[in-house]
Amino acid sequence: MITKNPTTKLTKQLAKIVKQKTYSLDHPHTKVNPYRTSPLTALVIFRLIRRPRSAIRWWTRAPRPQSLIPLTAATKGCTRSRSSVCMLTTPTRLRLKSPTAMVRRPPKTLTLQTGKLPKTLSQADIKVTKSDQSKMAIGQNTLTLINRTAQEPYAIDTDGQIRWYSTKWSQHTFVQLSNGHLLMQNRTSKTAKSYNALTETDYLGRICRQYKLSGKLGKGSEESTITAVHHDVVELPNHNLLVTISDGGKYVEDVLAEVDRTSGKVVKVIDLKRLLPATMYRNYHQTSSRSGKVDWLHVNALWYDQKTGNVLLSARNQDLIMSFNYQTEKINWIYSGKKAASWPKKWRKYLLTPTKGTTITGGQHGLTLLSEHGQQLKILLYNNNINVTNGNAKTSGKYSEAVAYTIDLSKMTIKQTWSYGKTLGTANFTRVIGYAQRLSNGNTLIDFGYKQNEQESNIIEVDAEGNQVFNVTLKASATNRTYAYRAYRLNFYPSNYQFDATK
Amino acid sequence: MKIKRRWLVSLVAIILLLGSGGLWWWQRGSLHLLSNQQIIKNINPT
Repeated sequence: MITKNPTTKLTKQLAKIVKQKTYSLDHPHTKVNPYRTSPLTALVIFRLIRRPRSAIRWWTRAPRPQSLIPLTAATKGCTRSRSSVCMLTTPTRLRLKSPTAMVRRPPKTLTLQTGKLPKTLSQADIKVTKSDQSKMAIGQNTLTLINRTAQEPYAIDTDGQIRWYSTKWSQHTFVQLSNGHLLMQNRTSKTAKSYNALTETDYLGRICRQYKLSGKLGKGSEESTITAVHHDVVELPNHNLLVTISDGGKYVEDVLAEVDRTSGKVVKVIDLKRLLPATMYRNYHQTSSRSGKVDWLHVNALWYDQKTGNVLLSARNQDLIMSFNYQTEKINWIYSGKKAASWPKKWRKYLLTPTKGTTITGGQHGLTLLSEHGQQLKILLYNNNINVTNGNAKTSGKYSEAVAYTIDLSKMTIKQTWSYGKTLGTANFTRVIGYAQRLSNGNTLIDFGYKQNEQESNIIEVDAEGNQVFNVTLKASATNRTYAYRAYRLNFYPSNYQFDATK
Repeated sequence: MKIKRRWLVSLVAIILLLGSGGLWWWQRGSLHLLSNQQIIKNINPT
């Protein structure tokens, strides 16, 4: 169901100012935190006499002189201009400059004042111990986004400075959509304990749509409150949202639902109990749930393959990853440490056989498809390496790691091709939580989110050879659940994002 | 005689049909599986 948009009134007010055409570059209208949900952003409204030859660029200076970050404004070929500016810092004053050539005049400098960071963020105690910018996959407008299990999502630069955050507390789900917008899993109100809303917003905090899901669905094993979309969302080719959800019955976190982007209604469900053997959930006792419900599967990551229409998913509580076709619901392959003989015959043909030296996954998170060539798939995941049901009992608890595999579907084999984390040992072992992202230059960003048993989160970027190029540690509170559920390297002005204050 | 046999065959077919349907229903209930319609109803807020 789509709920009332809380930023509609502010959008109308700002659109009115744009249409007034009274503000010039000498005397622009500036509004810090224009939609009241993104405090380190600003909107600058002005009218140009001549059309700029290219997009106007703004520059914001970070505390260290070398951290000059260019910000592209959505103002190409338009005399009625409004610039969306984000990635400011707080509480210091910042200067924004527009280059001379664009508007044939001296650079314009604006001073914007943002507010203080809330306590919930200043307590994060961000410590960067390694930051080799020349080797990091960090381009223009790119930050490291930290999505915590609770409270504000925020993004840091290479110095560990917070450059963006949302006042809308989020949990687990934070996705960049194909239109460049963000999709966050939020609370329906500031006092609500459950995270039952999905919000489509932009970087300035303007809300496009907000979906509310039922508050009657089951609690997961790790949750004290109901979180409807418990772990992940992917955008389908028709722009609908495929979400991980519980069905409201005896079992939890084992159903996928397609939510219509326009109406907010669920239009399709896939109950994974119907895809996997009943023996897996009928007598499941490996984990216990606070709510008494059976969390036998615990789907925590989704990937939709646009080329084949296949869904890849990670199921923590079975130490299993698998792929099936979204339309036919036919299984393509399954990988888990569960012995082939213990699978009913019907499923054995789907099982991948690991080659020598290939690790089996244990309580894994964050499954992504890296590439696909014919019958060969390359995937990446974060292997927590905890033996929940079918993991490796011998190595369980000794380390966590990011692992890349190549799957050969013609031979139904899986081969480990890269990993990082084993050498860090028990210090970086995380029982739950974690993520791995392959970056544009081949580096990998790894979120050891639940380090030291929920006391801190450690985010490390490593190159293909396993050399650390970025290392940041964030203090986490077990009580407030502020550990980093996922960390992403994110472009805050992607090319597909267009901002128009009048619409 | 022929009519009697036909009736008997029909009766057995109906019993088998109801029996297998009932068995499917019982098994489904014992596994606590919900229908897709029920799941959609549960997810969409009322």
